[in-house]
Amino acid sequence: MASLNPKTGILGKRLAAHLLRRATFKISKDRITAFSQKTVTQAVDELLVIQPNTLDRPYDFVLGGPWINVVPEPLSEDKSSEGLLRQFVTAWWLDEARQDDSVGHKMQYFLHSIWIIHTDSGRSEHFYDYLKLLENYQLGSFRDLSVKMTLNNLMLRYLDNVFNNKNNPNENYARELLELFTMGEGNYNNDDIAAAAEVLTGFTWVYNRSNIDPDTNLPMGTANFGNHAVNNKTFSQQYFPDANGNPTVITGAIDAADMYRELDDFIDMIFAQQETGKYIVRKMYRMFVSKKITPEIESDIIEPLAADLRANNYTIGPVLEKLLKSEHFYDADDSDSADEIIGGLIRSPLELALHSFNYLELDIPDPVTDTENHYNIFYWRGVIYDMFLRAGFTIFRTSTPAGYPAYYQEPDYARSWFNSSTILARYKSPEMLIKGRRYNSTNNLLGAQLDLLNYVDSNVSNPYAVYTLVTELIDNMFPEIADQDRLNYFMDDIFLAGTMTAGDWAMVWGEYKTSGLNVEEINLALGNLIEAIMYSPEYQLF
Amino acid sequence: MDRRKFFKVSAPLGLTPLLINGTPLKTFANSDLLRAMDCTGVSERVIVLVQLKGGNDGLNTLVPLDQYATYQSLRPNIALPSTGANSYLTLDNTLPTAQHMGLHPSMQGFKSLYDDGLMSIINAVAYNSPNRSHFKSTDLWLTGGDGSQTNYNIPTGWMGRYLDHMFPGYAGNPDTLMPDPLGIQLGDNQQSLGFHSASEHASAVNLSYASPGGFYNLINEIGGTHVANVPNTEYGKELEYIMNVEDSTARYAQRISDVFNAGSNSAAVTYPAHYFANQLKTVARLIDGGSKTKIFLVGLGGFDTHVEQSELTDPAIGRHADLMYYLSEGVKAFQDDITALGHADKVMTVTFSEFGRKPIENESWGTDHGTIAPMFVIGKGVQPGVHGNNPDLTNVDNNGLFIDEIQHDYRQVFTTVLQDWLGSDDTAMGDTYFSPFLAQKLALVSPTHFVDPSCYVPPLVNLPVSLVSFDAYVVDDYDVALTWETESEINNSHFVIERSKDGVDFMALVQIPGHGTTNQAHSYRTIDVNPFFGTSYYRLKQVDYDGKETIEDIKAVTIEQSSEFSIKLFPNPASKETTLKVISEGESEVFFKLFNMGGQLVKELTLPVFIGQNDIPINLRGVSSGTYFVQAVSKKGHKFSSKLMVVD
Repeated sequence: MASLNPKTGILGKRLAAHLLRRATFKISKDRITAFSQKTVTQAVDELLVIQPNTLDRPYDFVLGGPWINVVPEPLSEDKSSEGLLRQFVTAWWLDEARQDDSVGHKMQYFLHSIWIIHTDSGRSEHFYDYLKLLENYQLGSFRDLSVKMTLNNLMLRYLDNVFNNKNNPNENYARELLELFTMGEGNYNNDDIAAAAEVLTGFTWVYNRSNIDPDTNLPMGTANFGNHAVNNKTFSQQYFPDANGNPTVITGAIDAADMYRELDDFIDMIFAQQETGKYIVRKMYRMFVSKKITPEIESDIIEPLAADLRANNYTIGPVLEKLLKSEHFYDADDSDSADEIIGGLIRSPLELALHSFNYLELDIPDPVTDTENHYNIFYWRGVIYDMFLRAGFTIFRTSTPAGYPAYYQEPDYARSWFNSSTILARYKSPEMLIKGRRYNSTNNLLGAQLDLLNYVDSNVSNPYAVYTLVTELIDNMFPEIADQDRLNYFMDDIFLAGTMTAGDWAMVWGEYKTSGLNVEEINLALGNLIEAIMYSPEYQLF
Repeated sequence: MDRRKFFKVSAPLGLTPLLINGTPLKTFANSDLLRAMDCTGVSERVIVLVQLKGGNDGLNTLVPLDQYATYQSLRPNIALPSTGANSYLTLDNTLPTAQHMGLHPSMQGFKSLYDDGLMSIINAVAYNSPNRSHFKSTDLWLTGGDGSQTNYNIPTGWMGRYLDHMFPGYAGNPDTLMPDPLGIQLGDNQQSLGFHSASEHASAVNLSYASPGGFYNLINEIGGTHVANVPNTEYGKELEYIMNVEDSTARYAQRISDVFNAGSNSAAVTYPAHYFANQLKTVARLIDGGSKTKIFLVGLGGFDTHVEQSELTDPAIGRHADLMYYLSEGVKAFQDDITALGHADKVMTVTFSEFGRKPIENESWGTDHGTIAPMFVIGKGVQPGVHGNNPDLTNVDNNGLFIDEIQHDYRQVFTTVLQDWLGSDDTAMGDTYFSPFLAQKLALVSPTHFVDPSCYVPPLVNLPVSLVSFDAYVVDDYDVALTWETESEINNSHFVIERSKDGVDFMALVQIPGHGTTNQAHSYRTIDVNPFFGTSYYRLKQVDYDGKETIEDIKAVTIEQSSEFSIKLFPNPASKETTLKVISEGESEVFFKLFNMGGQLVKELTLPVFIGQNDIPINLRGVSSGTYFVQAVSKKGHKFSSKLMVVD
């Protein structure tokens, strides 16, 4: 039986690494070691302490500073093009996610994977506001976020609610709100969509971001009463019964201010339905735990967590906490603690990149002092374009509002990250990091390069010994311990590769330590090893 | 009956197309006139599926001219004009009034395909209880499903099921008979659900964002050796999945590059410079290069035109107009290209979209999700014409949706194409889940190209594994080596070696993966390191992907009992670990001692021993390098001593 009972005891290395991989983008040898000494409670509590961002907004290298909320606003010729600036916002988010010790950015990513937008629906500033909204609710109420997201400028424009008016409602947002963002398909009918669209008539964006939401301090859209359908909206009895079992009727607003009340009533109606909580928890389960939801998981995990969510104004922090502390999350709720969950998901390009950067201690150009290399060269061209787009990950720019197939497409889910068209980009990124060059290029610089020699020097207990070197490098990079066969493969076929013996290596390393010799040779051998580890099937999983 | 332009091009050997009141006869499969056909080339035919993503607005693709005033009143802002430079293109005045329609003015290419007798239009296509979610409806179109409870959640794609039937065991396993991926997908680097099959390999290779010409070189540079011991866990299953994708990608990579480089596009044809046309250009080149891939899937996105479907100033230009242009010009260029290359008799193109849009426009110069939309079938083998009438624009509910205007099920179209064009029999259609539509096929394939049942293409031959040899013999006094060779294999999932003491009751010993489908010879070898004493029997069993088992051969082996107890030590010299190999007739214990050259005891172990061969690892970590002395004594007094070299 799957169980939400709290897991007790010290985590140990295997489970500490599992928790850090699934709940954050920040894994490192030191962090895994530190967390392995903690109890589950200590570890999860620590991850739930949200960290402030290191930089509160992105920089533009042309402008030499931030452009968002800068007064007076820089002229367009002072800064990079809008298209680039949007990529820099993504770059800023990625770099904050990389450095986030807490569950914060992973939760923002989770919320984003539901509340899909497209960067190009608005200006870079609108996109930034959207990300700040996710940040604001990263552990907060999903219900309240639903109201705020409906009024978010980028969302208003993305799903066309800016065009939704009383004379001829545009159903785009209404449909996706119910189908994708809150309830899931099959929990409403076409008349409900039409009624929902009417509730939403008249909400439109404020392009210059002058309307500030006092709850969040972030720019929001506005209510245009002239475009609002003032009639009462009746929803179906089947899907939206009121307390007496009658069809829910939402009273039409009497003025612009009352439109927010009407919207609130409508959101309440959605969140009064059992299905809404379950829909959100299933999404969370698939993001953090496993793609497989059996009837047992549904009754033992999904339903109790959904009940918690409902009972607590849909506040997601405590539900995440319960899940991450549960025996189930660690596969400790049945006789075999190694047959499910651990290592059972394919890493998204996001996890592949950020986990690798952190684990291998990639030195990334500083956003403030080396702005162009940080934003324009490394993150935009190297990461977002070469590592993500080529690997099928259109971050913040999915082709449909359903988002990334890895989080919704039955039956494959995360498997959709890995197919014959994404394999190349995934397997080319280690080469990029090792050589410090862009995808398949010998000339174009990536802006960052792994320093494997120093990494090994400071992280491996005894780099002279091949066996220790290989074992310790593989350790923690794979979700489960590699067997002797596999270690031999990496040691003999890849690292020594028939060209040197263990004794040769000890000598090569010794000469480096005493006289600084052999740097090129060492980097080559380590590069081969790290590359092979990173494009092994094991490293694709987390 | 009016004369139609396409009569001229489509009537073969004086045969008048069977048309009644403008609607081609449902089926002419039983017409004796068509019986004696030439089957040449049928098995080489392919289909190209064009997916219009987002829900194409059927009413601005084909304007119902018989109800133009109603159309204009439903769509005051976006109705395509009837006059002026940008007016719709009247498709064919010779059709009955109920089929008078106007193509979007951007679709000159489609107009000329129609005029040349290369296009069939199927009006008002959907499925029962249509769903208006993009994602659900797309899934339904790709899985062969519909809104009914039974067909709402089919886990596999219809293309995958079809290819599984026609090419059993070939998904991911190329050979000379079928060297190519069964399906190729372009334009979207997420794998299409349509190609999802029940077999462990995906039935299609996805070429999006990779240059087919250089595909092999890139693939060839990457990837490593597979994990040998895959655990039976979720982790293990995902490892298997990844290794399967790696395998089939690598197996096809060289071939795809070769085919692409061997093919070319016609110099006389200019494709629009657009990603959609580029996909078709690649398909044409792959076909020209000799690809035997059966189904190509290409895609054009952006049809979710809720907003600004057309410009305020001119309903004939804007987003939808651009899409119509790229669709029409891309397909036209593709058709011209394959014609110029001499492959027109091989290729049929079919367009589809997850749904149409509401007949009524919204306030944003756009249209919301609807139900029905037309499909287009294009190619030299097409029976040109129009199926069904314009939908009735007055039959609209108060949400602005058509009420019950579905005239065709999309599976009628695909069933017809798979059977009458690709020549697949009823059994194949059963496995594709299309049987219910066999009785409702449409006349989409011209008599010159229609596949008669006598020409139906069988699934690619499924020869059994041809075994050359199977041997079992003793090695190293106590191990049994099992070796066998195959000349070719088809559909071979794996072998199982079974062992028996009496030759009657066999127990599975080990499972060895097969090579799927291959024309190359393969040899296999495995060792039984723990055999029975005396005579025992080994049996080789072969298992197909579908679970079918064949007993291939049985061999007897006798292990001589040279002594009741023997001890060996290997490797020697050793580092980190060595193994004490003990063979015993009974359960016992061995006392193991390791002395250094000074005679000091370094390590002492008491080791349990079981019947048969025992491989007992001796950990040498922490034992510094040098020469040592090993002494092992059994409970019964058997002694063994040896020198052991420990090295770093």
